[in-house]
Amino acid sequence: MELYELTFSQIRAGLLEGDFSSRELTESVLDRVERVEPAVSAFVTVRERGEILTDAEASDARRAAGTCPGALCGVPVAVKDNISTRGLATTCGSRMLKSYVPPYDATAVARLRDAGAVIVGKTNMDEFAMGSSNENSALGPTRNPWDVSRVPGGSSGGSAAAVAAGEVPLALGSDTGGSVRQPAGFCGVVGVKPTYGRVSRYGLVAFASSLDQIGTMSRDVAGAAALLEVIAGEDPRDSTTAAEPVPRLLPDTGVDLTGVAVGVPDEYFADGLDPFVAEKVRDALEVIRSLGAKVRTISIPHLGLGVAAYYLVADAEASANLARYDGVRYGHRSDHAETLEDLYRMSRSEGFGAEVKRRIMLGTYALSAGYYDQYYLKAQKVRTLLVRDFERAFESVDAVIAPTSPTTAFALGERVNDPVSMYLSDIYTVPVNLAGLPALSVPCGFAASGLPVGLQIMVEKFREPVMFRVARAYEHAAGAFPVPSTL
Amino acid sequence: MDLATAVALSLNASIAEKAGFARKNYFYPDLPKGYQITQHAEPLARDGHLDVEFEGRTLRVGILQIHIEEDAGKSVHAEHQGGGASLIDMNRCGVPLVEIVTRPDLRGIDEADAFLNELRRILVCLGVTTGEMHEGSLRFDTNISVRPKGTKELGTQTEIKNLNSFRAVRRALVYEVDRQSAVLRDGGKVTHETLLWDKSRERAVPMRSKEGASDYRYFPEPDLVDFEIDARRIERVRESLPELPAAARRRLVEAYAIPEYDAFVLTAEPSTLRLYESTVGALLGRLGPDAPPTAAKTVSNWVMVVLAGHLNERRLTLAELSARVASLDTGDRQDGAPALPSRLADVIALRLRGEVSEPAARRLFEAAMESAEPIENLVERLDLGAVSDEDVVRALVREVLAAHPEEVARYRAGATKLMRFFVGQVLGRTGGKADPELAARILLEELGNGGTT
Amino acid sequence: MAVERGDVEHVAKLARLAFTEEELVAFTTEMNGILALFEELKAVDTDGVPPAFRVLRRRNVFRGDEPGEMLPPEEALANAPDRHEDAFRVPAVLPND
Repeated sequence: MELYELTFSQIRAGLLEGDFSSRELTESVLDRVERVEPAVSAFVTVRERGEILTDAEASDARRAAGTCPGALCGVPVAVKDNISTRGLATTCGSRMLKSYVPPYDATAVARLRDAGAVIVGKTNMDEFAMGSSNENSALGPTRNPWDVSRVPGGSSGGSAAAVAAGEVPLALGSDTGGSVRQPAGFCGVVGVKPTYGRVSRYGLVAFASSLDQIGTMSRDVAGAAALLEVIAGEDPRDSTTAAEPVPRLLPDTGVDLTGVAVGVPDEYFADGLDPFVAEKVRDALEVIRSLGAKVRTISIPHLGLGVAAYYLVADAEASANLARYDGVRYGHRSDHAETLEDLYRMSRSEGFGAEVKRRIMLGTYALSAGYYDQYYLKAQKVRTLLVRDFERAFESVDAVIAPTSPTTAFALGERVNDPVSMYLSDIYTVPVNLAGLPALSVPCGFAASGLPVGLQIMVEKFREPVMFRVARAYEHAAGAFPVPSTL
Repeated sequence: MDLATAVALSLNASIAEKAGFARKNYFYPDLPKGYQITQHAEPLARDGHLDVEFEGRTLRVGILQIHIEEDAGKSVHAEHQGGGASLIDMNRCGVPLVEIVTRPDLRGIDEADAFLNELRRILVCLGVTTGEMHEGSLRFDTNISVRPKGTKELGTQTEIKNLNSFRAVRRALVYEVDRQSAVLRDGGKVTHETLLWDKSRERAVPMRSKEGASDYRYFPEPDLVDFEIDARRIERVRESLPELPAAARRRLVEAYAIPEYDAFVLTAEPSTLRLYESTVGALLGRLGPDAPPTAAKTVSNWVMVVLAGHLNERRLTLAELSARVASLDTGDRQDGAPALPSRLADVIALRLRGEVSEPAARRLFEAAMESAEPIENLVERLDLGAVSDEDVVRALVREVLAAHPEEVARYRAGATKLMRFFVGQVLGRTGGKADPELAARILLEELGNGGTT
Repeated sequence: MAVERGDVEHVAKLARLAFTEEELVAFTTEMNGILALFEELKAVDTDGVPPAFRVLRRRNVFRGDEPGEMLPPEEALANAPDRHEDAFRVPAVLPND
């Protein structure tokens, strides 16, 4: 077995035992990147090999000196390209920011560096995180490592594909409406969207401020939890971060689920759900039941309204958040503008792709005079109804379990020209963002097509430990997911 | 938030229980996010007023609302680049500011001026702003409308921005009153618009429109949490409020028996008021029961005339002078006052005791600002002690009268105005140290006894 | 209520986006398709339901009024498409009269 194939748990043990060094691990990972990138295109930027290996050696030296700052020391990590990295281009998958180099680190990245993680590079994404397939990247699509004719999901498709392909054991993504969980499901990796406020958004390029959260990806549950522990916690630079202390996210409770009540909402199994996906999810629920959990049917009555409410809220906020790209201080400036108004219109029209323009237009419309009450305000009220649905559910269950997506990874080009069908594919992931809840996607086998299926575990705010406990118990019973052998 | 609360309390406004922030969306190069964080639906405070003393009556100006928002950058039109470019300085962006919106209660330019001055004094006193308009620490946007005499309904108003001095406010208002009046006289209509004051050309030009008022697409700012302003917080701010200028003025007039005008000047800046009161305290300590009833008025004159002149000549602020005098200080003062008022009290005490003449006192003051020497040493070293020995002065008087027989003759023939000339001559022979009153008394005596010379 | 071409033009103006004639026509159709998705919200009874603008229960987050770390001007201006000394340069803000 090659080092790049190891899960985070195996890596941690191996580094601790001295079975291999961070340098050896990192070299294996970088060789893997070189080998599979032509087929997968998960990365936008890979740092220079020498620099990465210098970081790996530094962490080896700290380990040898006994000054290792924690479990992430010497572990290669990829960062989604909408998370600011000082001195390293951060493009957001957009022509607008093609040559933008941030002068500061996002808080999450600063914490990664402090923890001794080895940053490999920046991963591809749908432009400004707007998309569910990675086809909206101005730098070309990323492909699904399990079947390169298919999408990896999005918008954190690059991070999901990189982890799935063994290019890196851990990665950061961002999840506004499912952008970590859906690609994690499509690529067969673990993807976590933390409680809103758990992770600082400072330095995360804003899409929809009331929904955005940085999330973690790994081939095992332990890795996603360890990465989250490092980046989580209050940040004076983001007043919406929670003051709650960050607990140990993966308690040593073994793999028994006795005493855990699991709710399965009917609405997630309605029309539109691929029967192969449904079958795998039901199989997984049987495994969870067999581990001691009590599984019962519940209801999230307003699930069906989630997509509409989500797109109105997200696009409205995005229309304001993306107004800063005006060609004045950074980013693309049109060469052809003579007046200030031209500068705005031409820079923005040349810099943004079709989906981003569509969202800005919808969001602007939803906030504009005469439509605010009818669209934006109405959506925020429906959001309250969804919040209440989940509050009611969590009165009787510890976790809500459902499919991550209605289908497995679709083919490149299949939906890219049909925005409505693309939006509807987010139906199972958006409610959690609207309600600010934490959720996780863990692989639960392959559908008949040979593509991975994701199982989504949702819990109450700040109860991530319950979510990780259920996920790890299931993972232990089902076995960790491999790296695809076809690449 | 605390400073804005202090403003709201000082302007008698009702503070909201819940204050929320919103995004106001518009494109402008000095606005780096493409939206401004401001308070829209939930301002910090509403419905206040400020009473301004104006031409012997009290003018009550209503305050519509007080809110917090972030500042934008500064655009400079780059003339040297052929006028085709603007330069944007982003250093001010995101700095919180308090905006105070009045009701349309001001009926003329003088009223507006009085109101703005009083408002500035309050804000400076609260420590909310330095009040320096040229630095942009205090800015006024004015809304103005005119109406034909005798009509009640307010006309269509225009807003004028970019006013960075009190002078600019006055000039712009005069300009706009004239312009609107001319428009109405010609049977035209005033357009509701925003104008930018161009101070070099002394005119207001229509501003490139940002967005129409209905196009700002306000919505709650998701990057900030909600704010609930509880009674305890308000009380804490209320307890820490300083004495406001109007109250200080009343107190000074009562406590020190100084004219209203003096009280007005002395309360313009909190630092001036502190200096004045410390100096009076230190002076009364030095003079004890011998203090004349006008001692406080004497200090007022010194602060408003001598000290102000000193600052003006040297282009110093009071804070700078205080710091300089404090840096010279040897720390062996007993009066507990800061260095500057203590030094000032030293000088005034000598003057009031008649130990130095008025001109000598002024020279002594200048010296005392530059040196920490004990004041008596300074008097001695600079030879500034008053020539108060009657025999010495009388001898000088006789010298002067002997040297000017023609003038003496004219005086005796009725040209009594020449007394000033003789006093000047006597003082000149002492380098200004003789007491002019003493010199005048002896001159009268000597001129009175006929031809002894 | 269908969105008309004029609405799309107005929104594009507010958003500072330029569209070609073809794009405008296509976009009007597309926007109506997406807005149809939002129509289902209208039927929902939300009387007395407050909006959930912020899902976090945190209130009153303050910090000290102290200057923080500053970005040196060279770094702050490093990404500027056009600059003059320590300022960003843009076409004239005021009409050139």
